[in-house]
Amino acid sequence: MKVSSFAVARPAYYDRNATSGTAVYSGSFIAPHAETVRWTVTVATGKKANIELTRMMAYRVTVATVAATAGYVARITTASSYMDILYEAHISNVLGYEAKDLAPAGVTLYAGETLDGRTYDGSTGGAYNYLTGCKYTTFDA
Amino acid sequence: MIIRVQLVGTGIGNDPYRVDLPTYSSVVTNETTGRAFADVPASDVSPDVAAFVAAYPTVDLVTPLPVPFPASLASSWAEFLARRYDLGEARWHPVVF
Repeated sequence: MKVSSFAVARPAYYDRNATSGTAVYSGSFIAPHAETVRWTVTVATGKKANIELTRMMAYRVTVATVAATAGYVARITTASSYMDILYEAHISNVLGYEAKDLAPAGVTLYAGETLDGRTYDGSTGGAYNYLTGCKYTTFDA
Repeated sequence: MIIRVQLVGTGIGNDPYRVDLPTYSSVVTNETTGRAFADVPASDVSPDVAAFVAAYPTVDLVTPLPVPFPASLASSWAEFLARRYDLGEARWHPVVF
């Protein structure tokens, strides 16, 4: 059989100059604080990124004098809007209270888009432990 | 690499505390002094900025640098990031602080 096609399959994304990375934040006994971006990933021109895992966790380790809303956000920002793929808001003064979330894999970010992770705690006194982050692979678009 | 940079934002509404870099991890802040430690990918740090950071190590979020971060280095870092990400109007202006 004569094969005359010159078509060549495009390599899979992981074979297109792929680079693996993580963006993380972990903190222990973190005092109340305003919303703070702990990590960010931005996709450069000519690249895409697969977000393979995003996880966020907050754990109360010290009771507050006055508990208020606390939590975390994992936010995707595109050219025109944003979406919180993980969002946690709670009021708890229970020692050991834990909130945690995992985002589904398979989110693709395009050039100029970002994924960031934020924490916040509006309490007076007290503290949380945080464990947050994402695993991603960037590759030629 | 860990770099102590200027914290931006107010922490109010849609203006969270953050650092003015496209990609970073592990931010620890001091809102009072306006400083933050951030883990920045080595590929996002120009060689001249890396040399400055190595020359003036920082151990806390309070003690000022012995010399201010030169404006020329700030400009070259901003240009370095703009070229690397090539995202048109997107610009970052990080300052070692």
